[in-house]
Amino acid sequence: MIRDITIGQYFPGKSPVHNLDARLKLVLTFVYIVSIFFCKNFVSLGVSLVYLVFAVLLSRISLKLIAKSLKPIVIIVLLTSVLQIFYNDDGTVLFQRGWFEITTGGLIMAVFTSVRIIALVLASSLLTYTTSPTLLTDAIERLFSPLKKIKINVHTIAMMMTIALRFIPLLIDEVDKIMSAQKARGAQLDSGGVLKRGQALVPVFIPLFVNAFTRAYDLAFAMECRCYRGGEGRTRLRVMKFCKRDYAAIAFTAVCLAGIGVSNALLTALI
Amino acid sequence: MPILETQNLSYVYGENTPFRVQALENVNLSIEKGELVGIIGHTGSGKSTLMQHLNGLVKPSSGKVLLDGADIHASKAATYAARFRVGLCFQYPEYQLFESTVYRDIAFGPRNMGLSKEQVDERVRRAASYLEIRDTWLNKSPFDLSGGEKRRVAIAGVLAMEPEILILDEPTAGLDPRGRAQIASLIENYRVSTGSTILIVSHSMDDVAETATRVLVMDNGAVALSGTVDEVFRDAAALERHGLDVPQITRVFLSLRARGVEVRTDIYTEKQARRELIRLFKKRGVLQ
Amino acid sequence: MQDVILDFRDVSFRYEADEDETPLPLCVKHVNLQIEKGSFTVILGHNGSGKSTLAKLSNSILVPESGKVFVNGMDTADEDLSYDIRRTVGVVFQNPDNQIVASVVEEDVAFGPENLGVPPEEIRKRVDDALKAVGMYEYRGHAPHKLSGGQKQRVAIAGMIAMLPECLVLDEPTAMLDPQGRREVLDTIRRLNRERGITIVLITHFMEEAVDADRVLVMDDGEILLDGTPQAVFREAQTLRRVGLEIPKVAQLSADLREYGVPLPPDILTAHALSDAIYSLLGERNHADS
Repeated sequence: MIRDITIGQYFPGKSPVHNLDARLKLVLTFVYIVSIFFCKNFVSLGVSLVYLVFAVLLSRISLKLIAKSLKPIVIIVLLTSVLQIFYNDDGTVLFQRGWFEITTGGLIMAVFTSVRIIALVLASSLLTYTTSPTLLTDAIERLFSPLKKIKINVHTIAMMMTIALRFIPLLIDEVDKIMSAQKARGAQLDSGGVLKRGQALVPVFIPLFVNAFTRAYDLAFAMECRCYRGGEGRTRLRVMKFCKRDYAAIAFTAVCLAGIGVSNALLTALI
Repeated sequence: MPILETQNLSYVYGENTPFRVQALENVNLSIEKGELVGIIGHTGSGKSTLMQHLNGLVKPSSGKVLLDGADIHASKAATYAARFRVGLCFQYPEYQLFESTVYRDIAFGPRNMGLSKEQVDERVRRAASYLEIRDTWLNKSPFDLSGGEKRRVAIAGVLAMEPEILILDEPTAGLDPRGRAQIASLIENYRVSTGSTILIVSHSMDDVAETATRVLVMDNGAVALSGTVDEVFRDAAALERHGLDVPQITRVFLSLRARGVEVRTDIYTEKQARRELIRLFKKRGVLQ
Repeated sequence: MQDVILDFRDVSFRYEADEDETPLPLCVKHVNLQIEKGSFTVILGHNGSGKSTLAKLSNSILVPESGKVFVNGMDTADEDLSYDIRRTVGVVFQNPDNQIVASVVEEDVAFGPENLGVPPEEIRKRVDDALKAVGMYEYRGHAPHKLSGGQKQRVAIAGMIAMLPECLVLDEPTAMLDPQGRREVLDTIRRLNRERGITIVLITHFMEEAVDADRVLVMDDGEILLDGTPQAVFREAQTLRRVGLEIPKVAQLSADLREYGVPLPPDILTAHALSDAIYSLLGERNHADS
């Protein structure tokens, strides 16, 4: 079901991770993801994992939810692991049949890559789990505001994201409702070939678009009534200001990055 | 034999998760041919979930739905056939319109039934006439019609399947008084002239009190009260306990009774109210 | 004229037709209407009677084709004033889903003040106060799509209240709600009028919502057909029926009983009032007998 997907969802809370400055969280997540790709052996990867585990624990997000965020990528992880085992023929041979062999090198690389992918997804899930969509778009708007100089309207893009986030759950409900209504008139939406299924969706998508236009029209009126006039002269409910907590996070991240660097320099690289 | 029956119907959302909701619990109902049954309940009482079970759109967690005595989930074909035999018209059905013309939209159901072109044509015109949809509209785009007109076209789209049982979820929701009265009288005319069985799902007794042969009050996923309209109104206070609004007229009598005046409280139409009050006034000497 | 907040002077309006089509007819015809500060006015009419257009004309979303609309003396045709006008007259629409912009309740309520450039500490205060005024403060961190219809509509009202308007115009705010939601929204509107002195113009087609208004207007075909107290308007049962409206059943019942010779006081509109009147009639009788 579409509703079971948790990626991009926000779970309100009051943990230190929730309370970090959204801009900082965005930058830290980005830095962290890049750093994972600089980990060259298990020790440096371990350092970055410790950092992630620490962040997850601090966020007080239930481990169940964390696990749930990994569900959609199980296949990707399995696939890359298989590919690693398949292509890597370093180390001792553990198993051989014809041209196919499993080597220790292959296994190690499979584990290494899987851990990286999982860490990457966890880090980005943690960002969206702990940051309200509005704050996130706000952060994007503020971080990218220098782009105004090259005539990119960052405010408009951020506003569009805000509205999209607000209306996605509504549209999902609507798809559900329209599908039921058309099924009640005998529409067969889940059988037949690709072409037939595509055609069968016409009775769902046309009403969906028509309704979306009505909504957009109404929303435009409502926004006008609330004195919306673009980003010019707008203030914000939340002021984004760095505090002690944010500096602590920066320091902690710096230590972790140093750890990764040192491990990479002192120990042999796997890749 | 009842035309439609449910046996210990239960439905659970999100089994084995912390969000588990028992949406329906042991619902047993039996509907005879030609009845007009009101299914009344507040939002979240389970009435919409029940409705979607009756034409096989949702499969029960346990229990059965019997159409003419046969389980509608006996085979895939039986489930699919049930959709045409039990016509389901959702709330705000105008949101389902999608075709380029009114005619084609009404024809969508019959065409899915695999009928011949002539049969489809016949049904479209018959359904259109029940809902007083003029011939000149048939070639118009449904999106060019007014709200009330769209509603009628959408209902016609369900009627055109000529279901033995028609279920309507709040067919007059969101319309103005004129639109509400019109839809109500068109449905009643359709029922009288075809003898169809009709179920009307609603938030309030007001919508069905004057026409329904029987009402079921849903609360907490179960049938809380059932009987004729008179029987259900006999304990009007119970309706309020189940989260329903009592008609203003009934409220007058409940309030008098609460003050110790000897009046009936199973009163929900103006006519009944007038008769009861005049009786009271005569008895108490206010009137000769 | 100091105590008039909304002033329609000979206002006419028509929507623009698509290209190459004959112009559409006027949907508001020479309307003259003054709404007093602090009053509670209900506008009744069936769909297409022009009542919704009136709402959009009241805060310069639409501008009259002829005639003038003044908000606190400000001409709605003057574009420089449009933000001051919209801050003074808040408009709430029928579908709450299509008015809520943000994915968190309090962030949505903040949207208006943010647009007005209100400083952050002040926005915080206004948001909290507005949410308390509509009884949605405990839901400030919730996602709007998880709320009931009545709750969503109250959030939409809070969004307006946070702009500190003097007047709220509500265009069929209860049409899409269940009875529970309808009650919540009406109670909220009445409280805002009573406790905060906010002028209310409630556009509706539910007759029951008009019974305790200060003033009721009936629109038909773009014109004001009836204008007076609820009692006076509901006396015109025939006129109302002609334009597709029904008088409340209790009012009809009371009128019928009077006609039959029951000495009830005139103009009873609510169940409560009718029950009171009957009780006192019976009481007098008992008294007389003893």
